[in-house]
Amino acid sequence: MTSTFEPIIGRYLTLDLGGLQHRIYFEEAGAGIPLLCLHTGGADTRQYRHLMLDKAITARFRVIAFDMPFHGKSTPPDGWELDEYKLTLESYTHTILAFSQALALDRPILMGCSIGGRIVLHLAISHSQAFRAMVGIACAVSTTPWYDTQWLHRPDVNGGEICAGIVSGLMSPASPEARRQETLWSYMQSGPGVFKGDLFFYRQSQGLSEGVASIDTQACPLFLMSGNYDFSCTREDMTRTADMIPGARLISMEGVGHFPMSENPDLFASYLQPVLDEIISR
Amino acid sequence: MDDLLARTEMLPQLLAASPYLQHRGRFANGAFLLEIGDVPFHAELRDGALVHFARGPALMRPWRFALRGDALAWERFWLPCPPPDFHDILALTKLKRFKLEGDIYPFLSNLLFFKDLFALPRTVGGAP
Repeated sequence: MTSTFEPIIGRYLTLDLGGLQHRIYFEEAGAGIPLLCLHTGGADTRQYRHLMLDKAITARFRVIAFDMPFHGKSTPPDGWELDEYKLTLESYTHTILAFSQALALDRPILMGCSIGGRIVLHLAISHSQAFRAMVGIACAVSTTPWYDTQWLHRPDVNGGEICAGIVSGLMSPASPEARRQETLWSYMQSGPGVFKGDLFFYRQSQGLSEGVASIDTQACPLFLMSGNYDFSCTREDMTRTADMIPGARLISMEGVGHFPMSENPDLFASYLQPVLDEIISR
Repeated sequence: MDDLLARTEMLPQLLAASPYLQHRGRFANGAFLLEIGDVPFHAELRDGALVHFARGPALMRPWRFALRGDALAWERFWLPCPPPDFHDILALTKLKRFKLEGDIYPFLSNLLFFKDLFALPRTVGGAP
């Protein structure tokens, strides 16, 4: 029998967020420049497990990802059952900055996908000095809604399966089937109403159009990454976003969708590596 | 078009040959309409099995939900590796090439089952 330990280390951290104690789970691997990764709505840090096992990346970067409150192994705060979960711009911003501060990260690179990418744009506007560079994946300033989020949280529809069913088409059919299914598994495990609550932020924060023009990409380089199978945050949406931000670089990924880091980790790494090289060389 | 309709008509046997998919659909019941271009197919599911599947039109035959799409969209959707925007039913509804109509509760409450059911003709070759 052969056993293999992975280099990924997981820990818990207690953070005071908005006056409530949150037990936050995070994982990390590697050493070097901190690369703080934000998962998509309704999912968790496992989306970045492949990145954390990529030696070409962990040789130069300390890859860190945390489960947002209510997600993965981060416990909801006491009293969670008394109110509907809704992620807001304020709570999301505060959580990321508080987590980075708690780990004493020195101007990490911030990378996020979907809602994690949308908050990257917000932080690029409001807190760029706290970061070395930013990478936003599937993070257009606005997108066209294509379904009613009420379906994601109702007692007569299985929450895990409907969330997975909604996002299943956002991946490329050419991505490895095992990785596609693994991506869906984390959606199937999401707590009731969590994905819907995350999308509250996503839809609430539409209309960044004016703010993004003020992003200073000289001070904090911004890279945008777009998969051609992502029909939710389309290539057109991402191109429009890149055109609004002087100096922003759009990386067009062919053959992946909305979850490049988990649906096709090797292909994603081939697109990300040059971005990281460029950040280091600056 | 003939090839497209022939592949559509294979749905019951393709489902019958996928016992686990049928198991996943065991709570899916009732009638639905599938439209390939302007050709309707009336279907009825019982406990995840297609107990009725026939080319229409059949006058006054009720259905709970309908999925309609133009022939070219279905053809692309059923390619072994469909191109972007043609790879998913909800992508096609966003694109307005597919339409979901009626009471979509059975469809959405069994979404993964129906997505896999309607994608089954990808596994049988179409015209070159």
